[in-house]
Amino acid sequence: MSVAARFGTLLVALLSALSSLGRPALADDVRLALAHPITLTAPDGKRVSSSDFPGQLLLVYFGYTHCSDQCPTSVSTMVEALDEMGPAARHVQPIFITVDPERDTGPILKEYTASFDKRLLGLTGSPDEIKAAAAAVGVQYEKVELNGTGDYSIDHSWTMSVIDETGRNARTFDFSAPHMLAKTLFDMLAKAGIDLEDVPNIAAFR
Amino acid sequence: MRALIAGFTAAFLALAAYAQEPGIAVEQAWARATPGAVKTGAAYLTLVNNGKQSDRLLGMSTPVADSASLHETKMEGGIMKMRPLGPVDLAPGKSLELKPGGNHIMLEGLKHPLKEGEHFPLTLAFEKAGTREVTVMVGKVGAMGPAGMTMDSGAMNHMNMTH
Repeated sequence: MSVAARFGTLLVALLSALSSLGRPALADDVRLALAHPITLTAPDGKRVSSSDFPGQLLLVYFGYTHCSDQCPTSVSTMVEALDEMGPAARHVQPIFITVDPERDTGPILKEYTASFDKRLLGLTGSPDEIKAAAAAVGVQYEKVELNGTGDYSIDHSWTMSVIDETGRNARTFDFSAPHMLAKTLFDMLAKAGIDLEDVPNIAAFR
Repeated sequence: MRALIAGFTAAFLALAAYAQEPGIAVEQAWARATPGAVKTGAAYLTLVNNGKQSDRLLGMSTPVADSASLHETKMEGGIMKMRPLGPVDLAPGKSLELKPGGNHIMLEGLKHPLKEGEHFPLTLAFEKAGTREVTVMVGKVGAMGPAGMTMDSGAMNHMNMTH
């Protein structure tokens, strides 16, 4: 490695260290053990627990339907990642958990998720249940009043979470392109010993 | 040949439209289809100040929603925040690109869902250039760019700001 390249690497490391100062603690790959299953409510009123999906990964995004810029991007990323996974996507259950249960009632949530993909399951719950679910996987959110009009926005983590096939461990990470999210999911499925032989283009994700 | 004529006609119309707008040009206005019964939506466009003097975007309106206003999405410590933006200045020769994950027009109180393939008018009010009406094309739910542009997932790479 040349001196210049070495200096460059050092500079990059230094800058990234500096840029992380002053941020609240939110690593870009948080791993947490779930003390107990997360239980929330589906749009039809049925209670759904994270322990209801043995052998599947739960791909979870916390968002809200009034979030018109960022949330559709995130949800589309989930869906595109599943599309890229082909048949192996059946080992992954995508879930959208609303952080705005006040406005995102069952029917709204149901139509919202169906507009993106019929595989996507929307979940809601009491404010306390949702808060606890988010905290359990390392997701933060906070309601913020806008302009004193009673209108509000909800600041929330720009992350995707995966609950593993045992339902006992959660991982929350930054995400970017659908391809990268698919790769993360493939890696987790492979680690879980789930057979991926039916993925025709698996090499592209390695 | 017909395609060629159509191409020339389109180019001519585009030039004519451009020529009429010596000050502010509004380009690529598009919106996302709205999921289900959701009453909020997002629209995007690019503003270019081709004039010699600075101008300011004061506000906007559309018949399809109770309100349309400029918002910004910003990332702070891994948390995504959406906030209203006040009037925006446009210096001569500068452009302002609204795009997913950045500045956007938030449509609130939609009178009907925005469906892919539809279009609607949006009127922008500028301090000096006056009002400008544009046609907003509605793309897919969760689209990352105007229809016909292949930036669906590639655009995501620019959005992972924490790396």
